[in-house]
Amino acid sequence: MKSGSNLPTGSTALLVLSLLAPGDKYGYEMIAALEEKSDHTFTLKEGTLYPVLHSLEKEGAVTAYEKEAPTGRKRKYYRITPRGRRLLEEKRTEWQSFSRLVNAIVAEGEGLLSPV
Amino acid sequence: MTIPEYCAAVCRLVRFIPDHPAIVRELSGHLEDAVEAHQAKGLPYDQAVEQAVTAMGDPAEVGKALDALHSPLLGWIQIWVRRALVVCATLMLLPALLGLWRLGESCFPQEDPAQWRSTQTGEGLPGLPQRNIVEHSGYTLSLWDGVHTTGKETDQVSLLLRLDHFSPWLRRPSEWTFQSLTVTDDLGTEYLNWATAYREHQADFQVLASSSGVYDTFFSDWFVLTIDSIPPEAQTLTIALEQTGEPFSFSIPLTGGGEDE
Amino acid sequence: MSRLFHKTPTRGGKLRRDLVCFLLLGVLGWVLLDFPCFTQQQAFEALEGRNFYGEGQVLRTLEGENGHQYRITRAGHACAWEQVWPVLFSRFLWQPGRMEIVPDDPSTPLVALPVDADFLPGVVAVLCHDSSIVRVTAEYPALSNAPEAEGWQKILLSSTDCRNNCFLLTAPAEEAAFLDAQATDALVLTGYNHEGAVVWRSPQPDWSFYGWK
Repeated sequence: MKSGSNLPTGSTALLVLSLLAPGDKYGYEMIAALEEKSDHTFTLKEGTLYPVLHSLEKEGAVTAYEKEAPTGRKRKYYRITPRGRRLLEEKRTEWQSFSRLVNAIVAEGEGLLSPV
Repeated sequence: MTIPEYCAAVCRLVRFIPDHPAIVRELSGHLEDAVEAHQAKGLPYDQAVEQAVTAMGDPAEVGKALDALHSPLLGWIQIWVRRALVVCATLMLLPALLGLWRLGESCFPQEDPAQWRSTQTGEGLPGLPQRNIVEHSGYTLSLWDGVHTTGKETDQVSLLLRLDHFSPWLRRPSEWTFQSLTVTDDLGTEYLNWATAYREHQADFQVLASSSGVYDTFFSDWFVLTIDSIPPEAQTLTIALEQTGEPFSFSIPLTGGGEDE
Repeated sequence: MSRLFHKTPTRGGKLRRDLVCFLLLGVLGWVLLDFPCFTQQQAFEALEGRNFYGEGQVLRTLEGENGHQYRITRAGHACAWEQVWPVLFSRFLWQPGRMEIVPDDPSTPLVALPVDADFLPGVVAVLCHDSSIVRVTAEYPALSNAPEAEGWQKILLSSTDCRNNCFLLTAPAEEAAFLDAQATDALVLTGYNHEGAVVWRSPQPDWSFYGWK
């Protein structure tokens, strides 16, 4: 299972922002949510999450604050900013048109393959 | 690889040392959560740690990526700016408190200009207050109040004047300016002021027109101009500042004085 | 609201906040330094404003001790010396200093303007209204502390340094030759033409106080 497909580069930011859109989360919470939602299909090298979060923070797409997590430990929570929501919207449209293109090409390939 | 070892391996590649503790806190927090999750599934501690660390991926990759985001230049600039700020703020603390105290005092007048009349005897002059009778160099002069006291042979007039100045660079004008105000009446009498007496070396002089400051606030100054020995026949007084680059003058009627026809 | 307190800002965010604090600190400093002016020119203008002088035409400029700047101006029928001084960092913030206005009578060929007899005691500016005058002398009493010549001494200064119809006479750098603030009215001015002949001499002041006739 862990050998599942790698995420296309650049899509991590989209995933992170999508995960933060419904509510504030800390790093491990995001990984857990991602694994659960994707039914363990995606694997993200968990460490790479943090550079993505820090760069989004630097861009102003997310802000961070420290708070005690339900586990009792102090965790660094991330929250999406209005700017982050705009970025998410952009990335989502970008992704959608990209996936539509890929689907169209794949569908064309299927049509060619079937008569053989 | 243990949790501290993993964090150390990441931080080794992050050049900006002051950010290390925060990175370690965040990464070890993540690893501890993961270890707990694995332990909950029944794994022994050692294996749980190993799995958690493996899931994190190559520490060198994470370290390099974080190093690019935690720029040492910006970081050190921020740290030194903060240090300079703390030093400057500390140095300014005492003078700031003293200065703000003084500023606060000057913002509120110690006495109420409206009370001035009650300290004066004599009749009020008509048609007062007259606002903005003179505008000069950013100042506006208003004639706020005035009383006319009738004496046995001559009269005395006291005028409460208010000078407004809104520019932070303007202040109460020099004392010399006030003492240079020249007063004449419609009969041609000139009332000697301090400036003229001093300039012309008059011996045994009696100053008949003199000013004194009463109230100072931050944007306004109040002063009283007293003119003595006014003949009862005088109808108007003309007050002027003549010995300067841009002279000005204004007149005030004295009707209301006792012996006026 | 409470979230604002917990927020852990990025380095960039901290830097921005610090710079805003610096700006506020600067404004506070400016208020505490009694609203100094940002340029010398502005300080001169503020000084002229505080004296209801109007806008003076600059005739001469000179420098006193500790960076104090002086200029001699004319406005309408008045002339003046004006002084501004640097605050804190020399030549960065300026505060208006003192000023003395003297009536300038164009019908009098020479008008004396002792420049700040307290802080710049060796300088006399002379406004000239007669173009034939090329040299000016000033004679005045100066108080000497020297044991061999204690008391008031007569000092004679001479100058051909004229610009904008304003002569500048400077006493030698000895305290004994400085014009005393009290003695500024005891000046005798003489104007000479090209041939060295006296064009005009100011009326003889009363020198009896100094022990001379």
